[in-house]
Amino acid sequence: MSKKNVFSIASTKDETSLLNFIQEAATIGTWQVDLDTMLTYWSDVTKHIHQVPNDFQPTVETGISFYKEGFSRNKIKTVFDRCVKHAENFDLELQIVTAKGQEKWVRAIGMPILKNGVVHKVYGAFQDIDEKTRTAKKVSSSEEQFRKTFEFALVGMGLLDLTGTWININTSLRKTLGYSFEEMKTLTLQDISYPEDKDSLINAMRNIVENRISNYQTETRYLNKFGQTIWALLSLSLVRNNINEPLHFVAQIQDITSQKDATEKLKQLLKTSEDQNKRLLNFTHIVSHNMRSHYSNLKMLSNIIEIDTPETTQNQEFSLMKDAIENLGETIENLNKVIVVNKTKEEDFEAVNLRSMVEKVITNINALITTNQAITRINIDKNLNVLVVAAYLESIILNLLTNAIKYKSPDRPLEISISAKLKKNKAIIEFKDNGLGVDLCLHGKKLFGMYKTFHDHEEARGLGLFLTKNQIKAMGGKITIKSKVDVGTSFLIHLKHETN
Amino acid sequence: MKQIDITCIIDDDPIFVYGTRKIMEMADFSNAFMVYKNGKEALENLKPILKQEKNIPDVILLDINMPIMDGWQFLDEFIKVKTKKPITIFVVSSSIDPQDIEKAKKYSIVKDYILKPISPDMLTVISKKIVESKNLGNST
Repeated sequence: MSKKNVFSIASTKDETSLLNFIQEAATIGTWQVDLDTMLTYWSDVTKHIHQVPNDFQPTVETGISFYKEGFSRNKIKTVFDRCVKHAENFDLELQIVTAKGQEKWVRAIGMPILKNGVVHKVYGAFQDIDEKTRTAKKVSSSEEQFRKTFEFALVGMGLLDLTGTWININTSLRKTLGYSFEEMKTLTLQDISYPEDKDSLINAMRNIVENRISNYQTETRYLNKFGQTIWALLSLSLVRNNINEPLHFVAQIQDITSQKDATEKLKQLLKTSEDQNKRLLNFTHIVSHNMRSHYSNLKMLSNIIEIDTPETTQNQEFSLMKDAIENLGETIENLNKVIVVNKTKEEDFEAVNLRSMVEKVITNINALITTNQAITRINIDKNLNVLVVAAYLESIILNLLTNAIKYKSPDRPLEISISAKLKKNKAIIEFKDNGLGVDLCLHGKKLFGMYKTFHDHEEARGLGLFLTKNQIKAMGGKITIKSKVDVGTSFLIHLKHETN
Repeated sequence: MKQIDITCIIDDDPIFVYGTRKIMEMADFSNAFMVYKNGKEALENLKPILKQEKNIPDVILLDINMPIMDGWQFLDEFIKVKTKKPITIFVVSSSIDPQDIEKAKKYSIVKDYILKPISPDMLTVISKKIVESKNLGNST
């Protein structure tokens, strides 16, 4: 309602009712105190705000006592006093407690009326501003909440104007970049970007402003104040107003330098161990290769001595030397087999019929089986094929069979049974004997180690199970053992089943 | 024996050369020996011999691992040289690497891969194979 209208109405209507009308409309009441008589007047609206009945008779003291104890009451006392004594106006926002016990924000306005230079009346207005104040307080509290969230967020956050200049940045980001707030305000996001990452950032900013993309996320690098490279995850988006004009950018920058460093370290470690592995393989290859040529020379020379001067070989030393040469040769050969296993390639694999292979090995060592009076039983489906390196499978079967024969029990005839079953896409092959058995509690952990022997046996060389395990692993399988001393041993081998 | 006139040994290991010669002499394997320390030395000397068609070796025992020019490089060069008299080549190595054995088999001029050391028994086998391929060469 404009002032002009108020006056036009005022000129035609009764003055009091107009005043009341305005008061009600604006929830503004009036009051006055005659200092000579101390008579106090409250308008209806003022009474209504105080939640007192219309016949309520206020005094200065009761008026003041409605103000909330503490700041509000003290303040009104002071300003009213100053108004009376020094003729000072007042206009304050204070809290009262109404007759019904309700807390309310009010605006209290006071103005002195002078007569002969002395204050003899105080006039005032009284407005209920509770709802307005509460809403304002709510807004400022939610703004405060947002400000705190922004400030204390662990992820680095910042606001940028459309040129990329920082408007505001939070603590986390200041820490990451090492700049103070004042320093940051003179910089742009582009300024702190790693030189090589700058172009794509500028492109992205343009694309966002021109609405081609809604946001931009990337792993990028920054240079902090101390020139250190910071790896970060940047999420950049744009705030627009309600008519879709771009206002400012919101950037979230998460420092991932430590993760990057860890990944880098891991990569380095992997490369180092790969290199070492390669060198080791090379080294073993060279050693075994070179050692083998020396061994072959030794063997040849001992052969020559035997033919050329047989009389010098009729002693224990010569025969021991010949044994030593033989052992050297065998060790080198085993070492070579391990190296070969470690070089297994995809194309070495083929489908092999398990039963035929077992039968072939048994035929090959038939003499050994017969001499030891061993009984072999085969229980393998004749259609069962496994995906293996044929030479390894042969070597594994041979090794396990000769092991069983080597470590047979002197107390009972040796029985070896070889069976196979399918489980999912694996073929599980069992080699079971009734031989000496192995104490797994004692030797379980090192059973498949290099050069470990568990029987006091002249033929035990120790590399057999190590090689077997390596061959099985190279074919993507596994081997486990169950054994009981003086009952027997059972090896379980898991291999890939070939379906076609 | 003595069906073999000249044996050529290409090997950088003096102990191997000494021992092999000795075993061959004891077994009366051949009349004469030619010894070269590496593939390059062998190639340079064998080329003029093959041209003159005089004193051409019946058999070459070729090592793989040698300095300057190894056995493989020698083979790659030697297959380009024309010869009227058939020469039997054996790769003789201490390597038991399956890759080496496979590679040797790929050369058609290589008769066989022999694992060092060469024993008297092995000599008999080698001798037999040389005669075999000599006769084969004569008949064609």
